[in-house]
Amino acid sequence: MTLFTSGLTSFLATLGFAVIFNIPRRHLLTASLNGALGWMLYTLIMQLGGTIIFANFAGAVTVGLIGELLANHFRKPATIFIIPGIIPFVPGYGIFYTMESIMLQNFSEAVSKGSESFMIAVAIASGLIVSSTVGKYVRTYARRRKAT
Amino acid sequence: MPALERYEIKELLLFASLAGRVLLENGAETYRAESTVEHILSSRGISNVQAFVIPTAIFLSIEYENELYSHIERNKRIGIDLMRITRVNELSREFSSGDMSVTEAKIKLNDIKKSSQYNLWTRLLFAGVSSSFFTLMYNGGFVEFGGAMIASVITAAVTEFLFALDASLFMRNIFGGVVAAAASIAFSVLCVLLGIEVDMNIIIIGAIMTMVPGVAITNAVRDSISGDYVSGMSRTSEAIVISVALVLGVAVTLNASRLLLGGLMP
Repeated sequence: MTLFTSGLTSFLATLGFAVIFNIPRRHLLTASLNGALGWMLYTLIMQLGGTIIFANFAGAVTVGLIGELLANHFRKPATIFIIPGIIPFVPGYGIFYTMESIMLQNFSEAVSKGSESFMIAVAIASGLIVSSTVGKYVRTYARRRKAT
Repeated sequence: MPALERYEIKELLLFASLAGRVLLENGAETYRAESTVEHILSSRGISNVQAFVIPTAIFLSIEYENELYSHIERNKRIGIDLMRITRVNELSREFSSGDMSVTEAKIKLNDIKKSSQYNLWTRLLFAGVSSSFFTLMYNGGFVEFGGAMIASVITAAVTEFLFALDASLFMRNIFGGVVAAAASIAFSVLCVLLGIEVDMNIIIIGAIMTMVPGVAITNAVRDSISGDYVSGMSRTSEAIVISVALVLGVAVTLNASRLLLGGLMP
């Protein structure tokens, strides 16, 4: 899949979730664009031969940082841009597949897919925490400069 | 700041915990619920606030003028509604910075609790949109795209109906899985009869995409990394319950239809 089509499909997939998650109407497109940008970076890293964990981490950091910027600009909580943004990454199907393998007694598949899904979730979560911590420090720094 | 009467403290305590509960019900992070509750209470001059929040309950204890007050608020409903989180956030900011009365704030909060933005048809349509575009991300073609769209809209309609009936998370997902698989199988069998090539698995993946616990597991890890271990475990269990229910629904339906339809299945 080319970079452009992956961006387009993830944009629309995220848009659908943004409506399901009841994002304020004004921010629907920005939130979905956030998801698409993160997913395009993910696709690019995968095409360049990066590992799946690194690609997820980098994508989540991007989504998180853009989310913090948007949150600062619109004065809304960053969650409303971040939760839809990580939708293309989250290992929902991976967890489903793990459970399915357990049920079909295909245990080696379950272990390999299960640990991969778990590590993807860890990569995304740590990416988001890194970006929110950076956002917090930048905000404190800016406030301190304004005060002096 | 004027001294607070006993009943005023009670009202304030109930309002703060209700605000936290509305946040939890709509999928806010644990730290957000905690800090909102603390913020609301300390804005009225209560200095010692201890809030302990897990996804299923809020434990709150405050000290004011040598007396201890405490309250526990249970939460049993967990969904994701980012509009309501935004509005509670704005309400708490407005309440803390001005001198809004607790009664007024409570009315506004109850308003937020019931608010919704998109009507049922829009939600169903967009559930279909996201599912069908996910099939493209899983290398599906036009047939799978259409199949997932139809199957997902039907599934979303059934889960919305069960949600309105207050069915439990487990029941919602098990029926969601059954309906998603049944609709995908029906569509695929129809395609086979018409001589169209179809990949049924991709349609099923698309149809269940709006239910799989991807965000739940990510939030679980996020809570654990931030040090909210009990919340992390609670959300992990939620993710496991969702996926077990979904798999049960899908696997049972697939197996039963294999037995019934035999060679017709793609």
